[in-house]
Amino acid sequence: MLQAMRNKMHGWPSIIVLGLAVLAMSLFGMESYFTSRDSSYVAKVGKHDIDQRAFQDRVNQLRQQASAEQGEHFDSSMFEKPETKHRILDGMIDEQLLLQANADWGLRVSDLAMRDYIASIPAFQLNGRFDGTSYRAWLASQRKTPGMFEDEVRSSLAVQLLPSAINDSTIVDAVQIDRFLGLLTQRRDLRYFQLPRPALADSAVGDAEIEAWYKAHQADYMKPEQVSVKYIEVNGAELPLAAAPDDAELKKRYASEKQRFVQPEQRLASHILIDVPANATPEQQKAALAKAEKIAAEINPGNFAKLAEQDSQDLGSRRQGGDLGWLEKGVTSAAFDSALFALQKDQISKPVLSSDGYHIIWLRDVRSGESKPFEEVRDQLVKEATAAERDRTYNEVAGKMSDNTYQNPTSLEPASVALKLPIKTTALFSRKGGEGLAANPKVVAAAFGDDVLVQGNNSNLIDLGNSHSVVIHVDQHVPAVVKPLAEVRNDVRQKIIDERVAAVEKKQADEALARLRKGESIADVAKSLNADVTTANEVVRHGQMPAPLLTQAFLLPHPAAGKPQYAVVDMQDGSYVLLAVDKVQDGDLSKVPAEQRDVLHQQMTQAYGYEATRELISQLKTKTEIKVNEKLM
Amino acid sequence: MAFEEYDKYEQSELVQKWLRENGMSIVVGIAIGLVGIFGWQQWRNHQARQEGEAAQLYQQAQIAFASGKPDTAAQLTDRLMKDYAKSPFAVFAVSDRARQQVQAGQLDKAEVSLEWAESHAAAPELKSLTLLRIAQVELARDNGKQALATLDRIPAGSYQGLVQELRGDVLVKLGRSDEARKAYQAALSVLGEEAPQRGALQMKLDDLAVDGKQGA
Repeated sequence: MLQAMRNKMHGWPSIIVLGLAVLAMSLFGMESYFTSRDSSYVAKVGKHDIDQRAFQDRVNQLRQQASAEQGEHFDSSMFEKPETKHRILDGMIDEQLLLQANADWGLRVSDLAMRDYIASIPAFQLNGRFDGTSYRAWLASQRKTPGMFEDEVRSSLAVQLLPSAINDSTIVDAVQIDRFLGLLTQRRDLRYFQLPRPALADSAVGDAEIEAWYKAHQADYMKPEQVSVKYIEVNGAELPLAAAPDDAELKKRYASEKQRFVQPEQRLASHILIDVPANATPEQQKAALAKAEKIAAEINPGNFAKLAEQDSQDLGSRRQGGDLGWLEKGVTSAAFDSALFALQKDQISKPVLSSDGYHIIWLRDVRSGESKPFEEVRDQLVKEATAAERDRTYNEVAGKMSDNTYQNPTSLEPASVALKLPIKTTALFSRKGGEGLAANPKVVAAAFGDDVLVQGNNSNLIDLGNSHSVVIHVDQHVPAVVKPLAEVRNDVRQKIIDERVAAVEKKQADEALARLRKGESIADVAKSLNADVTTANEVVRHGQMPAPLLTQAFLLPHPAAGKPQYAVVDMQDGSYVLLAVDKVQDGDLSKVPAEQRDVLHQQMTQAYGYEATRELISQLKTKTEIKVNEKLM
Repeated sequence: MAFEEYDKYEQSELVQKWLRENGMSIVVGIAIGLVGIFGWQQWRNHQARQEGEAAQLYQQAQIAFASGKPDTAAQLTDRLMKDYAKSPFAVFAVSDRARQQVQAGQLDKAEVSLEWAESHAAAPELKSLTLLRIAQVELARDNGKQALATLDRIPAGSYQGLVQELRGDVLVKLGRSDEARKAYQAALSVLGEEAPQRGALQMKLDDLAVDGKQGA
């Protein structure tokens, strides 16, 4: 057929047709070369793509980590937030930049580092040493070859290469540490006085003024959003139970769990103890053993009590002739136990070493193990059977309640009818919670959650612990409103008066400051204002003093000799203090213990090393073209 | 005249003629290409081997030092300096040596080490980092003027948080408080938001307060 076409098509028509075909074929699909590659990456760092799958894997990995670390408090919605995703992506970009720097600079992970790392993974160790068999077994279970796993380890170590090389070579010298400590423990000599509260000349507040204040500060007088909820609850402790189990059933239970009610064998023992202190020298230990052996040689049941009283160093038992009473297995130490239970009745042991010292043990009597009769354990069985029954009933009712409220999401009515559980109602409560059921943070979170509050659905089953759970449905919803003026009038009046007082006080304070700066002494100024000056010498940054005062004291410039620095300090409680800094001295470094310097040295090395890496990455960023594809995040 | 209009014999004649004329250059071209590819691969392998060996030595030196064998560590570092002087691993190992020297109070020796590191650092970022450390040791040796000159050699935009903080420290030492304040302010604006040394830097800055500019 092609031959036929070829024969027929000659000259320019064929050229045009072919030309069009070639053109069409070469152009169609062309755009995919320009666009499709664009959309396959989440970020592009230089020539390297961070693709969607790698990004998603990382997000999942961090999510699992966070979930494992935070347990119940884990909030998975955090990982849906764009900020979080951006942070994760930024981290991946930083890693990529470091990897590219490794390649450009000629840094690589040594085989030694990789092997050491693999050997240090606990899963591949047996008795604290690397075990090739466990390693290969693990590789097989993961369907990886050693080469694949080594590459993974290599690339995870490669990310740390530069940061740890920078960290390890970060210098923090003694001068830096001295300077920091000198500043941190700086001492300042202060004098200060608090201005007395001025009496107001005019304490009348007009209605217009109150109204204006109220309008300007509406946010302060909001009544928060409130809801009340209807709920049905199932409480294990209150569930009606079937009649108590009858004897036949209990006996069956007794028979099947008989071994639980066997009373263990007991042995009546006496002993004589020769102390060996915990940190005894070999000589001490030998002396103790010799003494114990001497006693053991001359002892018999007849003189045991006497010798115990005379020689035993166990203060608890010596007065009773060494009597320890009836003992079960596992009550005393292992060495004592095994010696005691190896003895025949009326036999006396050789000296036995335990952590306390040497014991000479006399087995006086044996009470062999026997099972407790049914009558004795009946009460216990009833209790257990009831608890199990309660659990079973609770789980059944809770399960039904959960199913039913889920299937009829708009109302609790069907579940209430089906399970004969009453619908109860809470009072109104805000996001901060309320009383009773509304005090439970899980309930509050559910009540204000999107599903319950906005969609108007039943909540999921909320487990309150102790076999107690509820399902809630929103009852009333009161949006946030401004409290009416009448309700807050007094409050507003007080605020206005407070503000007036503060203004007068501020003015007085500023005037006093001006007088101080002109050269009047602080004592004179304080006296004229009926205030007392407090002197505090060698105050440190973390001293015992109101925070605003302390902060300001350390923000003032160093005073020249005989020329104190002054400031007005707003104490944040409506009062003002006038402050003078008389003298500044660096901390006394001789008082800093060597350990504190060492700790500080470590912390500073880490902080400066970390910052160097961070600033290195930001330089690499400016050199590398980085594109982020927001749509794919 | 199109090629297909010749008969088979003529076609082969033409091809052979063309080959006779150009064959040599084709063979030579292919040969050069092959040698080039092969040589490039050899070179890459050689480099990778070198990098691997340097990495190994560095790692061994780190382990030796951490496990209390400073003499072994020193020998390994010497080998890095001798045989792999161009590798950044040598630069890091020598910087690490400088850190130990500073800790032992041998500031002059530390400066010598760092100068070796600086002259062998190929990447500009690594060079800047080493210069920063030299300036730091110079300040510790009470040589403020020299430290300022060293800091001036670091390009703008390189480690500005650390550079400006150190510059501030030097200027305080030289009694030039006004300039020091500006340097600290510049450092604060660059330093990472969550960097733990922010508080310390702010403290240094606050301590330079003068009338009217307190709590900058």
